[in-house]
Amino acid sequence: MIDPLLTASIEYGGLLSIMCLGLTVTYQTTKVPNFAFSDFAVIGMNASYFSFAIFRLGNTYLSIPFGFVAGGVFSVAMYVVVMRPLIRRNSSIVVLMIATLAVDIVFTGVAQDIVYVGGSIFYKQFVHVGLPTLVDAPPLPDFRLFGESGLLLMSPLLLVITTLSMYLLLTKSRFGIAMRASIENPNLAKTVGINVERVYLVSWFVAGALAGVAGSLYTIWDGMSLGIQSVLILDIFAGSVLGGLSSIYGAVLGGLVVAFAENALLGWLSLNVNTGFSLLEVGGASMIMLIITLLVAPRGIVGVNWKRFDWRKR
Amino acid sequence: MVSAAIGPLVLFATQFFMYLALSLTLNLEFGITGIPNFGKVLFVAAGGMLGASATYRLALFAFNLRSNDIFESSPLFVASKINPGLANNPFLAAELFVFAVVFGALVAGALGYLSSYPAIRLREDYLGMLLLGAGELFAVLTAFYPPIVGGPENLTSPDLLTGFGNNESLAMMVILGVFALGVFLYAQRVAKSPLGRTLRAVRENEVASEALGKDNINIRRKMLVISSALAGAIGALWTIYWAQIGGLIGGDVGSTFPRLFFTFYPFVIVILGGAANNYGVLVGSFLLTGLQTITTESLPALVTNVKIPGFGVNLLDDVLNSTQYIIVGLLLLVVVLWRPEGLLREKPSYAIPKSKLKAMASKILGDSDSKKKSPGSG
Repeated sequence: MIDPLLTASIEYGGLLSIMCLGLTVTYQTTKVPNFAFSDFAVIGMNASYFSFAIFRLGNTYLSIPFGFVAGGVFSVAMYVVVMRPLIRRNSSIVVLMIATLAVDIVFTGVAQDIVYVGGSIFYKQFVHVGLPTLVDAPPLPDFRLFGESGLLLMSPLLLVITTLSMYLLLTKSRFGIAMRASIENPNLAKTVGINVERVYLVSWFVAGALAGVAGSLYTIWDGMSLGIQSVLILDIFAGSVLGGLSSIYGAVLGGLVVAFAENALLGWLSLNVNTGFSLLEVGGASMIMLIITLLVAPRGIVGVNWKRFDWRKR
Repeated sequence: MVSAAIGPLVLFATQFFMYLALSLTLNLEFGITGIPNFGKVLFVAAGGMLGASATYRLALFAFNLRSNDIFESSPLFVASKINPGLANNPFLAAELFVFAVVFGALVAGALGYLSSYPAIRLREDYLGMLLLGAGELFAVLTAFYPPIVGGPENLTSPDLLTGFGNNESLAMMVILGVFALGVFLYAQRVAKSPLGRTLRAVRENEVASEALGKDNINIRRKMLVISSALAGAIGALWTIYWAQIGGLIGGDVGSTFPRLFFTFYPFVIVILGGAANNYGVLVGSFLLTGLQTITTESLPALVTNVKIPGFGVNLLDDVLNSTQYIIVGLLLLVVVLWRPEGLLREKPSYAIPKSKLKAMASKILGDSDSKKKSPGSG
């Protein structure tokens, strides 16, 4: 039996890192912190619940493809309808941020309406799988493996698969090279004939799809509640900023650090020092890390020159 | 007692005045000075919560109650000990009222000064995330650390407008209205003054304004402190008002002062009405408050008895509530995409009043005309 604080950190760390990776990809391409990013995860959660009930999947992990597609489709829709016209017009960062804010407000309403209306339409199917209401939906079933939850294996496994395939995509494929070129210098990339807008489109699809997958995993971890996106976005921002918003590996690392701090560190502190620490778990710890990172090392943990702190050389 | 007929109107007006005053302060810093304050809720909540809790402590002190009564028992219970005393002494209540507003403004202003440190140095996107994070952190801390305001369920305010008897909500509407009018006049004065032109210069081109000898950092810091202090006063007023009509506020993290209503909606109002145009903010506040009232008050009241067979009990009610978000978000998107300047455009502010400008221009142009003519004729 592994310490529950550790398992919680690993389970949450895997899915949070996937989301941080996605946010970093969108930030890299369009250079705007996407306030609506956690809504893609909520869309993925909804896709998971609905496919689980309607198609009677039985195994929750079979609903991940639905989350992947749903998150990707919403992300592409957001890019095509909102972001691309604004970027073509050379809008400022603040205008782009406000646009993502607007999309966040719209998606908040859309996700709630999906829960209310869809939950009513497919009421019989949901009751059949033991989910009478979606408003505060309980976690979806998970399989057991050697007495531990299946998520303990699947969450880090999916993180590794995601990171590996991103690594292969970025370094070994022609498209990845085009992508890195368009991130590095969009104008130069255009002159050598790279379709920068198509590259951005694909990056946004990948990012949204990753958020959708993470949302599907989240349904197993903690179910779904209305308004969860406004809490999730804090952790995603904290993880991505901690990773420096510049490299996908940094994002993975940042997400893991946030998850371990929230679950293992705060859990240990609340058990051994003061129970009050457990109350920082919802957004508090991640916000402290976000603020300190932005003030002390805005380039994140990957951007810090760690060799400077090496005492052995002196 | 406010009669049932004008009750909704008073509710609407109160909300409208609050949004108007709050959005005007956002307009001062975002529209005119160009600081994207995505943590507006921080200053409102700080002013509201800390103003209210400080007032509470003072009231406890005035009535010789133990200061930790606020945390040990339900605030309503404590209020039942304080409020009758205040009812007998409306002057003390009025003093406490003024204290709450001033204290809220001071606390929020101090926070504004603190947040000016990153606001001057960080780029817009990082600043946005930082202020957003600071607002959330404050919500978490106040909700979970009881010594500040007594935890999530315990934020309330003593009955400070007790002197008005049954017309309290009407009195609060008038007070908020006067406050909003004051903020409007101040914002108009700033926008038309030399200071306003300096602020626009800082927003448009930092380098140029610095080259002309303007202290960019100091100017930004001042605007952030002033508008934060005003936001804090609004927060204190809102807490006092809300405590009267709703009793307790909160219950969950961030539900006392939700980010959506106190950061995002003011942005919607400013962008929709027109950034850096105070009349635009007026129009925007009116539209948004109207929309909110229709989707959360009027329409649900109409459909409250409509039940669709086979669906949940309050389906239409819930759907209307979330439709509010969809409409507000789409409205913001439409404005950003197709009319970025908002409903009302930003008007240039002239150093010389328009009326005098014409006379002066004709005088100068007339002079130069005669000069031009003179060599030709001579």
